[in-house]
Amino acid sequence: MAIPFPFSAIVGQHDMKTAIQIVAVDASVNGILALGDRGTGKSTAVRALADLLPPIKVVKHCPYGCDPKDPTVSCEQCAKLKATHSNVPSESVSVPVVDLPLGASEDRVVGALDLEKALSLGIKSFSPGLLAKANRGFLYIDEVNLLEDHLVDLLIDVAASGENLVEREGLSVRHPARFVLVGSGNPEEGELRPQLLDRFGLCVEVRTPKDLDERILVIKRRDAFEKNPRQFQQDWMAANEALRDKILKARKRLDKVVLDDDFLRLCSQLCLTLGTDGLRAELTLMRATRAYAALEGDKKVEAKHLRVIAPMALCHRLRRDPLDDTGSAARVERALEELAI
Amino acid sequence: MSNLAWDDALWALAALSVDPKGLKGIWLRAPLGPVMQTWLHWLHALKPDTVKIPANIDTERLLGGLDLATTLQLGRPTMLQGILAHASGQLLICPMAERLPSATASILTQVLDTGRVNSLVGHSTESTRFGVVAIDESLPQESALANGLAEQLAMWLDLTPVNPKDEASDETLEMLERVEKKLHNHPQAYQECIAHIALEDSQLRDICELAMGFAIASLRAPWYTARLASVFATLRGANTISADDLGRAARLVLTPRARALPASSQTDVLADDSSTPPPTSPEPPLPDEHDNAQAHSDPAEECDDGPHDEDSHADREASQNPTPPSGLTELNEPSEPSEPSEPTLSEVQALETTILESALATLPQGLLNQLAQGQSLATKGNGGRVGQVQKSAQKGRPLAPTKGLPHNGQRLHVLATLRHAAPRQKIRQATPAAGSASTPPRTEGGKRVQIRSEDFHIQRFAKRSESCIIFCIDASGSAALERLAEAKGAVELLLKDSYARRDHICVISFRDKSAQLQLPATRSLVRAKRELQAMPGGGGTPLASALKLALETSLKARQRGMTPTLVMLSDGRANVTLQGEGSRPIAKAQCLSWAQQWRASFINAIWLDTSARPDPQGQDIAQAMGAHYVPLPLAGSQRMASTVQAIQELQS
Repeated sequence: MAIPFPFSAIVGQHDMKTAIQIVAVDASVNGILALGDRGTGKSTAVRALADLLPPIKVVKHCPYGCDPKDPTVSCEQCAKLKATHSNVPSESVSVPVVDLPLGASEDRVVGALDLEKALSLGIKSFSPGLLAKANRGFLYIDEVNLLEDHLVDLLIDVAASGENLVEREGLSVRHPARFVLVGSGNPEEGELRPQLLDRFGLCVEVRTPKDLDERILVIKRRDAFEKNPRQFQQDWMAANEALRDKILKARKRLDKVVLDDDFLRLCSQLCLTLGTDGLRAELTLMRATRAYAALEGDKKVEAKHLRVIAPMALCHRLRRDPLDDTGSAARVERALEELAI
Repeated sequence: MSNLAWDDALWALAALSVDPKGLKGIWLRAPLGPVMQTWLHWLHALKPDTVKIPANIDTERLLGGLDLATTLQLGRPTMLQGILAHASGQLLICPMAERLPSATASILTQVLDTGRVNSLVGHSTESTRFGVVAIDESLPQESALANGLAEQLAMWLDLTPVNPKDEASDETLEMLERVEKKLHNHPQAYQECIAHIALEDSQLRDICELAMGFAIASLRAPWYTARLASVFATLRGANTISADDLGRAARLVLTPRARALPASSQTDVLADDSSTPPPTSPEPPLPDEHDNAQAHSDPAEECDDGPHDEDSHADREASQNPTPPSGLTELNEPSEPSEPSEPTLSEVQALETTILESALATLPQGLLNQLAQGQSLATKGNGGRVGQVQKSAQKGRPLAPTKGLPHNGQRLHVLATLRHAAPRQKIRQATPAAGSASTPPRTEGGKRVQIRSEDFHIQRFAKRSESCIIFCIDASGSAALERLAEAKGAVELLLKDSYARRDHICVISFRDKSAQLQLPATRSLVRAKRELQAMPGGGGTPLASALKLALETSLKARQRGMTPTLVMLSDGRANVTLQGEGSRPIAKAQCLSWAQQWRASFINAIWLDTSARPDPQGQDIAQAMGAHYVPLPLAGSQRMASTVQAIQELQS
């Protein structure tokens, strides 16, 4: 098994790393969109997640990786199993991080009739797709802006409902598919539809480091990693574990973080000033700032958290005249200043 | 005679045979010919276990999956190991890599990037690391290798300048023989050596600085440079990396990816505008044909600079600016031929200059100037192939099912398959399929329906292809200034509409001496608007050049699976020839000949005559093209836009 590059060894990319930690703490933030040039470490950061996050317990041999403890969400088989057995056999696996290749067919993504069984045994059965595999983990789409529209629609629908419903080829299957959607791409290569943009919780811009020393450091670490991945992993083990602890603690603390009405008012004011459509912006702001405060170890969500989160939660939601090209980051900054946040 | 480029090609080959896992491959631009043959011959000598993959390979074969035919024959599931998992540690050779369907290219990209391959059936994952030799035979005006895949490959090499008569230097030949022998005896020997070579900090700094100077955003590039330099050192049998190693690595990795010239170096490199090679080049001047061939392909490469080029809009803005941007001002100063080792330079800078100069050593002056003007060298493409219009197997309007195996994401049409198998059951039950090891197992319920591979029917869908509107705008002096403003207005209105319909937009403008691709096919409206605003006006009317470029652009759009439509806004008063000289009769003759070529391509065209008094000249050319001719004197932007829309609807 190839060893992934350790998350904590990634140089710079502060926004991207913060966003990833936020969704790791609270998956309901609903995904990240990372925009930027190729070769700037977007994929590296996402693929490092499996190694960073603590392993999860799954029902043994369940293709969807159902949680043995959770009675509410499970596939049909696990539901039966849980109803009859008090102690469901389980195993520990690392958090799934599934890569969706650009040219993937719908069959491969949602799953399809299991041809193998249909032909050799004459049994109608479902062969799970990538969505099943990504359940309880992350689904990563590189170059999401080049993905075919019908696939994107499908993914967004599933990501929002947390369930994959297959009604085709005489199959009728419903299975849990709760995952965090992580997309990356370069906006210059093709734009995303506004409806789609809105579905991503956070949007971060990943730029190539402008500082020479930082770039040198990146190359040095990469070189050390390629030459001896195992050693490199060992070297960063402690840092990765510290980060894992931080995320785990934040998850525990999450429910206790105070979100008072004043703060919510502030969020709404900000969204009103910027004229974002719908309430998804406020919801994301609320969840993301809470997760961020939990990560920082703060007891209460405050304006300082909003300052960090607002650009990544709002930039991509601003209504845009296609012919007006004022930077949306600048508009968020201006609104923050106006409200003296 | 020997040639530095050919030497580089052979070193690249040796490096790849020694370290396919680290370097991940090479993007080789070369037409099939003796040079390519020799190169492949050497590759085969060094690395006999290569795997060739055809452009039409299917996903099952690449990733591994169910072997349908055998499964049916034996009555039990038979798996097929994918080529990618099998090829670990080897080299994959993809001829005609520019024709790889985007699905195949993205699978290759992903597996190269992650080093893992997931089988199509089941949840098995295998580690695999291999190198790819992507042989790109595309012509300059065609779209090249997919960007994502090219990014993964360390080395980018253009073999077009190499002459079949060129010979490698003795040092190179000696190295090749040594490597061949050593690889034959201890295939793993080099891998260990590479890991032990350490790059000095100053060398790493030079590489990073150079990459930044070249405006390369990706951090993969400097890392690959460092890796390649270590490999070169091992190939020489040395323990430390020399300046030559660095220079050669930079030539193969950084220079082809360059987007700009480092500001500090421009006086040095561009000191001489003639085609003499840069000062440090140890080799005799490159052959002249080579220069010509490159110079000839320049404009085409510029237009090849596809929509997927991140920085290209900034670049193009820079090139339109009458005064060069701040970083490039040194260009215009009277340059003095400064020596590489100026006494004022510190040692580090001196070394950096040497690397830079050797990095640019194989670059002809034409391309150097192109770089200095802020145009990217790399021809970027989206690697598509003809026939994508109908390729969609998963979506669109359903068509009648057809015979065939469900490969490549096509879906089995169960009903049609059963319908085909049903009447043959009696015969099949009596005679077991030839070659089957045993009679198929029977299920408890009774006899099994026997299905054979010839029964398979697949679902097909027809997909409407995306459209691409190519605006060709006359910005010459004869199309008076306010007309130009109206034309821009009309284009913006159409753009807004096409944005809603998700069409691609492409803008060509022509004035003065030649036509220019202002905006390659894109959906990015922000960019389109910026390009339009920056469009200058005035000068002659090089209509022939515009028609030529429009045809090339349209064919490229069609190759990528789009349906192009040309909207020409001009008065048709051509007065500049293809060669950029002023002559009305020749210009008109050339226009008519290109117009006929256009007609032969069967691409829709709309000609809006923008002149105040419509002129028979424009009408003649439009007729020759088979275009809809619409005289629109005194029409505002709004009317132009609605006319185009009306005609488009009529045509579709």
